Amino acid sequence: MPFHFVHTADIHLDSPLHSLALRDPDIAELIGGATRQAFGQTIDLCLDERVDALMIAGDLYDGDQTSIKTALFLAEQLRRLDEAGIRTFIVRGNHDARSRITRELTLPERVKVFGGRDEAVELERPRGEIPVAVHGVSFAKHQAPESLVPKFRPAVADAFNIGLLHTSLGGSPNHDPYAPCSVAELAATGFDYWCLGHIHKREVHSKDPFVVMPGIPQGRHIGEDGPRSLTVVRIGDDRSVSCREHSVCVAQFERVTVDLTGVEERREMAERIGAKVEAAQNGVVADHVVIRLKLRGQTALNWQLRRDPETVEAEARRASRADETWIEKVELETEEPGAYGTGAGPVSELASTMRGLDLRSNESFREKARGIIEELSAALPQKARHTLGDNKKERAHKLDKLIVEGYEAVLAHLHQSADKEGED
Amino acid sequence: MIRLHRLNLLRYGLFSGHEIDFGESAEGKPDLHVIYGPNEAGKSTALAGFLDLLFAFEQHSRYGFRHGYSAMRIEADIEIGGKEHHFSRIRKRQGSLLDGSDRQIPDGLLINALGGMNRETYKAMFSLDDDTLEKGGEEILRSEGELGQLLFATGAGLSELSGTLKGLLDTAEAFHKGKARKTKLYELKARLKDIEDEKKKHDTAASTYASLVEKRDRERKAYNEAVAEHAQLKEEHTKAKRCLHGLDRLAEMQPLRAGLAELDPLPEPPRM
Repeated sequence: MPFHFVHTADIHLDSPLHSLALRDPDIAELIGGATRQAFGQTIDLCLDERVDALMIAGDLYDGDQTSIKTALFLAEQLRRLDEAGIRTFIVRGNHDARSRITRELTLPERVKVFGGRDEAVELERPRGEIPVAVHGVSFAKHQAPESLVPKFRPAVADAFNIGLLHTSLGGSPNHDPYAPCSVAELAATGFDYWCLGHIHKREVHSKDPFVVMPGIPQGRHIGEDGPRSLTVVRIGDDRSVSCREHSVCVAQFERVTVDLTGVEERREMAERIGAKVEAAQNGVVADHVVIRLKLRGQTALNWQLRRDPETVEAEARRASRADETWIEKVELETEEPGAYGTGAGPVSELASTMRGLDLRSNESFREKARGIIEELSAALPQKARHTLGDNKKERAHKLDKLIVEGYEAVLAHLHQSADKEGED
Repeated sequence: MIRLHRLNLLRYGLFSGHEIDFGESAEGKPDLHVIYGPNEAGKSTALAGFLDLLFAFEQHSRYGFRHGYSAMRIEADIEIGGKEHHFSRIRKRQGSLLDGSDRQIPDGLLINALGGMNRETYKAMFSLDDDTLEKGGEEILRSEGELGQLLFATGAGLSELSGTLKGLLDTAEAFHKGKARKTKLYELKARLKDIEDEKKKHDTAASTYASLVEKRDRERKAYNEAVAEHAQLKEEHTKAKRCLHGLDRLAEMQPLRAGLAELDPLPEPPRM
């Protein structure tokens, strides 16, 4: 009989979904508890497929999670596996190590939470079947600046060795390293399958041995868009490994870009949006799709759209009124037809001057804009500040975007008043 | 609109009766004039002279050194709204503007023709030298002062625009303005706080849970101990009650026993 397990990580139970779509009470009701629903479905999958084990490579919940209800929910779900005789293996990630609820978590008997030292569990297997050893090293603190790989016990001879590790791998320049290590370092252990966690985007780093980052099973904001999944692994008696993705995603975030080039009427705009949204929805497995819509291209509607983004959002919602599809926000990157500066009249001249100067690279303008944004950021509630960028690079990028959005919106309003004056 | 036709620096700086004639303007023909000359030729003096003509001599004029301050005089022919006027400016505290017949006329005549501009504004807008060009540029960038708006409103000829800008600023300030409390952001923050408080009421923190569990276990133990103690006491109570009851009977029995002792023994029953 093959050995069969589900590999997931970065559950982030009860981590709030950040989306303006949740302003709508209907959708808030439906997908507000998406991380719980997705985890419940993970357990369902384990039971339905009668797997031998569930592997969770860290970050069960957010580091600042304090509610015992989260811990009780987790314990309750894992008890369902325990009752069915399915084992669960967990390593703690940086978030778990930091969270206050970890200490209060009481887990069922068949759940193994690895500690910070070398430890391996050799599974009892029926005679004649391939022996399986599961290894894991947890984060002891919320930081781990050095590799945890040397802490692992050597591979058990003749067994199929599975390693659980929460790691940022090579890391990215924007983030602190978390238990950094390389795929080569992992391969050198002689383990056969590495269950990784931490990076929220799925990636199979190697197939010999298997080094798999399953990604977050349920995206929480537009930055975690696209399909998200967990990994189902089957190890044959001949040690062959087959692994496939499986979605337990309740709501999938998607970016949809609609080109409005040449569009002159709102009706036509709505048609184009409707068609694009429908196409996007068709490719999604999750029950719900939360869409960030971007409108671009040269269109006579440009001024109107920029003047009143709220009606644009309402129209986009109407145009994509398929069930289970939600427009969370509309981004405008439209332009008026023709190269800028060709239009007559003072506002067109002003527009071409402002665009021609490229205010984004004008230091004194930038400085002033940055001042305004920093003042606003300080006035925002702590939890909302990330919307203006988490680090220096993001903030600079956001500033660029806001400067352009800002003067385009101002120009759109000036354009309207100039039109009125022309009519008088 | 005004047009300078002829400027005569009669007694001003180094000049004595120096006249610059810009000629008639012709419809459809360019009307741009360039005055050039080497350094110290008097270009800046001529410009200062024209400004003094429009706005009166400055109190501490630098241009009276040759002719004496009281003798300073500038004359000009200026077209205002298509009509030619002759003006003279003399150095006097009041009534320094004279017409073609040397009669005093109110300063307002010229000022009105300039749309109510004062010397500073006029200089900044129309008398640009290296310095003012640079300064004016910065001022426009900061879009502060009268100049930015003036350029925007009169220069662009769009009076509606400043109203629109003001409207946009009002919209922005309705959302957030410094420490003001009647803004949308302030309102939303208050609501967020209410919701968070509400949430806290329904939630149990892990730390609270831990102490609640500890308290529950402690109290459960105390309860069990109390129950056991209760049972034991109850048993003792029953026993005591039984003893008490025995004591009562004993007291009853004792006199009876005594009475019994007093009685004569019963006679032997007859034998058959």
